[in-house]
This record gives sequence, C-alpha cells and structure tokens, in this order.
Amino acid sequence: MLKNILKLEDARLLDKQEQKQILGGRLELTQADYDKCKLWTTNADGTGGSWSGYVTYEQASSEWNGTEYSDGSIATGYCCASCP
Amino acid sequence: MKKTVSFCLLCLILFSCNSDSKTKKETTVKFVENVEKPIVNTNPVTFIVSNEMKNEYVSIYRNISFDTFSTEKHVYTKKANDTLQLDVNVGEKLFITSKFTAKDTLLVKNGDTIFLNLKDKKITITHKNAANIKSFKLKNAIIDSLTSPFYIIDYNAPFELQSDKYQKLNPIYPLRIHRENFKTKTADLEQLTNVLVDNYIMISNKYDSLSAKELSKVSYYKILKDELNQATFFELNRFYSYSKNKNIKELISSNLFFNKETIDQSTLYVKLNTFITKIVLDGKRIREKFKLKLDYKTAYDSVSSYIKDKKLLPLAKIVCINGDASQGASKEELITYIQQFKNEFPDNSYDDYLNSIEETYGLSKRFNIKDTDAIHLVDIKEKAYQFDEFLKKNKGKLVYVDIWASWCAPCRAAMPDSKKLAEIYKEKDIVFTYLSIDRNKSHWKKAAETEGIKNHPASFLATNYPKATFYKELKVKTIPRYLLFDKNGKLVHENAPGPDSDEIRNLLDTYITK
Repeated sequence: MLKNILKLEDARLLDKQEQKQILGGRLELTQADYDKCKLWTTNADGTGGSWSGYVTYEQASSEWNGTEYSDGSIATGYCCASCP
Repeated sequence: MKKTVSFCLLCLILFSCNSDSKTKKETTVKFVENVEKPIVNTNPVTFIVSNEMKNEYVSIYRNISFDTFSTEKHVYTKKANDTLQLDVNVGEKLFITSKFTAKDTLLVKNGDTIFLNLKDKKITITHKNAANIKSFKLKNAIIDSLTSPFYIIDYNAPFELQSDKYQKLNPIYPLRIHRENFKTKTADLEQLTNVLVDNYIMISNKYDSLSAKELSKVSYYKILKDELNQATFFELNRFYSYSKNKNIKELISSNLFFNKETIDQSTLYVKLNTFITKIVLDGKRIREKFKLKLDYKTAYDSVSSYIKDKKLLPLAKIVCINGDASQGASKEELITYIQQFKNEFPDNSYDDYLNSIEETYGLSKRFNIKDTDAIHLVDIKEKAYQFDEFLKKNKGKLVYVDIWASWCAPCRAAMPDSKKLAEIYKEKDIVFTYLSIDRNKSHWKKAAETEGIKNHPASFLATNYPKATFYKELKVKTIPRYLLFDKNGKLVHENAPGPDSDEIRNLLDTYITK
C-alpha cells in the first residue's frame, strides 16, 4: 500500500548500515549496544536458568533466540534493561 | 570387521523383533497400582566444610523433585568452618561447586557425612561412606553415530554464561538440528529410537541385578536407574518434538516410562515437565515481544486429556502452576490457579506443594497485602512494616530509597555506588533504604546477601507491589528507580538521580541543610 501511494515500485528497505549513512549515527556497535541484551537459558526442568554475557540485539531477537542447548535448556533473548 | 558386521546384523535382528512391541503402545498415560511410599528417614546428610579461601562460597545444589519441592535447592557458606545439613529422602544426587570449580556430582544417602575443603581454587570432597558405584552411560559410539544425521552438538559455540559468585557453571553448547532429516529419514529415526531404548533396557536391568546383589547400595542404584529413565525419556521427547513421529509419541506414553514405579521416581517432576513441554504443548512456545514462554495455562487445562492416572494428574498440574510461577505469572493468576486446583482436588495431600508456591512467590497473606492505600514491607527476618511508619520513625532524616530487584542487572550494577554514597554520608542524617520489588522471596534474600545489604537495617521487600496506589501514581514500572523524602517524610524527588551521579550529592547536600 505504502509503495503504491508513494509510487515506490523498485523500493527496498535500507539495511542498518545504509540507514546510518543517510540518517547519521554510529557505524560500529559500542558496549552500550550490548549492555541492553542478554540471553536467558531456561533449564530443561522448567525451573530457573542462567544469564549469558552481553549479546547484540540481532543475536537476542533472532540468531540465538529459541536455540536448544546440549543440556536441554532453551535460550530466549531479553533486550530491556530491567526486565526479569 | 567380521565382528562389527555380525554385531550390526544381531542388532538389526533385535531391533526388528522389538520394534513392534515398543511401538504398539497407548498414547495417554494411565496406570497405576501404586506401591506404598517408603518411610522417610530423617537422619540428614551432613557437610563439614573447611574453606581456606576468604569470601568465596562453597555451594551445594539439589535437583528439583517432589521431595525437594518445598526446600531450598541451593545451600552455601563462605565461613572458614561450617556445617550444613540436608534432609534427604533415602538417597539423592547432589552437585558440589564453587566459583572456580564446575559442578561435581555426588551420590548421597541418609546419614552420610561429607567433608568439603576449598583451597587454592579446588574443592576436595571426602565422602566418608562413599559407595563404589558402577554407572553406565546411555549413549555409546553407535548411538552417537546414528544420532549425527539428526543433530550434532556444536562444541565451537559454547554459551557464554554470565559469571556467578556461587558456582562455576558447566559449559553448554547449541544443538545444530537437521530438521529436514527428522521429517524424511523416518526409518533411521525409528532405528535410532529402538537402539536407544534397547540400551536403556539393558543398563536398567544391570542396575536391577547390581541392586539385588548389593543391598546396601539399593538407594544409589535407584537414583541412577531413575536418571537413566529420565535421560531416555528426554531424548525420545526431543526426537518427537522435531519429527512429530506418532510411534515415538506412543513410546513416550508407554509403560516403559509410566508404570507402577513412576510415582516414586526421584525424577518425576522433571519427567512431567518434559511431557508437558513436548507432548501436551507439542513443543510450542508463546512469544511475548521476542521472549519465548511455555503456555502452562493451556497445559493446566488440557493435561487431563493426556494423563488419566489419578495420582499423576494432580502432580502434573502442580508442575504447570510452578512452571508458570517461575516464568513470571502474576499473583492474581497464581491465586486463581491454586483455587481452581483446590476445587478439583479437595483433599489436602498437595498442600505442601501449594504452600511452597504461595510462600516462594509471595501469595501468602503476609506477602500479598491487598491494602492499596499503604506501602507494606517486610525485612529480612520477615517482620512486617508500613512505609509511612518507617518515615515517621525517621523524621528529621532524609530518606533515599533505592528500588531494585534481584533480576535487575542495572540495579545491581549500581549497588557498589549506592554503598559508596552511603559511606560518604554516614555521619549525616540520611537513611539509605533498599526496597526490592522481587516476587520470589528467596531470590531477594540471596541477592541481598550477595550485595551485602542482607543485614542492613533498611533493606526491605515490597509486599504489595505493584498494587499499592503509591507505585501506580509514581509509575514505578521500570527500575532502578530512586526516591528522595525530606526530613518531614515528604516525597521531594520522585525520580531522584542514581547513586553514581554528582547530581545526587548536590541534591542531598541541599536538602540536608533544609
């Protein structure tokens, strides 16, 4: 719909690097970007789990999200600074 | 070569003979002619700890089970010399660890005495009555080779675990799942299943015969047998979750895993959780933003279609309630669950489990105050207070409140600064107050100890968060959050600067003179 309104037949979404080149901002991730995201592995017995070290938003939201580990635990990503 | 070929042929014959009997099973779980529960021997296991590393912990962990349900799963000490005791129901597998040493497995039984010595980053375990137990692995080279087309463990990408003050966590590795093969290589998967089950039966029989020969070691062999059964059950559930193979599903629900011994298995809680996760919920998880959660509520309602046994069904429902609680279900949801459970199972056989959930997640009246007008708190000794009274008691002093929780990483990262600030102003009339909004009481206590505020005179747990009007009016939805009350107990800064900032010092300096 948006493409039709704006007549953007050949449009494509810019990747993050392109967005930053046009709109400004940092190209490299800093520690602050990592500070926001961690993985939580829920133990196979359903109780408790373990936090990972810091990961990127992409890793938390897709790459590692839902991964099963050798001990049967499943990883899930968390990216808000103060949520359980 | 000849021997290998003959062995493989023999295996194939055995598998083909066994496959029919294994796959023709019923899909729902029902049995049981229950046996009497053994009388619990209350003679505890004693740990005599000598710790030669100052301020480091020696930790003992237990698995969750219906026997350990209402007890602490983690006991620890950092004293130079200490004695810890655990009530063990006949026998149990425990894990000994420190920040420097990965978990060491220990089989114990009632009355055992264990000496633990932490020195030079190593724990030496001396088990006075240690039994020389033969244990066998479920998986062997053949099983590994048959498993590899379906999944492999990627040892190159270990999960980077956050460091822990109490233990060195064992490394875990991601599985690389070949999902397509689970769907297309059905015969290979069923062959793998049969080899695994045959190996399970063979080892299980070995434990039975060893147990019959060595009567003093019966409780140890029972633990090993229960764990073997659970490990096989878990692996088959893993196969099912990726393949949706009906024969494997039937095998999972068969009397191989649910029989007259099941109710007394030390691994029953874990088995039921696996069954709920993989079979009842079909491996599906619900997404909240991108967090993945198990839909224990749906499982609670539908598990009765899968488990018909009158003794197992309530236990499975307890697993659902506890599972949802540990995932962060609200107090209201948990109270509704528990009431529903009590209506369905009116006898009091399950009270211990329900009480434990109520206590742990703050549902008991003491921890779940309905009053919304006042701010209710408890201190580390669980003595109740109201925040208004606390302010009145401290009239004439500034009160700086640090709202935090055990699970809040930034709150805990700011704790050293908070303590530093308190040290700077220790001669002034300022009360530094720590208010945790944890739901899990034991998590709060443990974190308070770790952060060194366990015995702080103004360290509290909020018992009517988030219901109290105060939290709603101040929109205390994200933490860390800092509040400042003046000498008359009036809130003068509802979003005070954090303890690491220069602004807070300026603010305290200003108000202290007023």
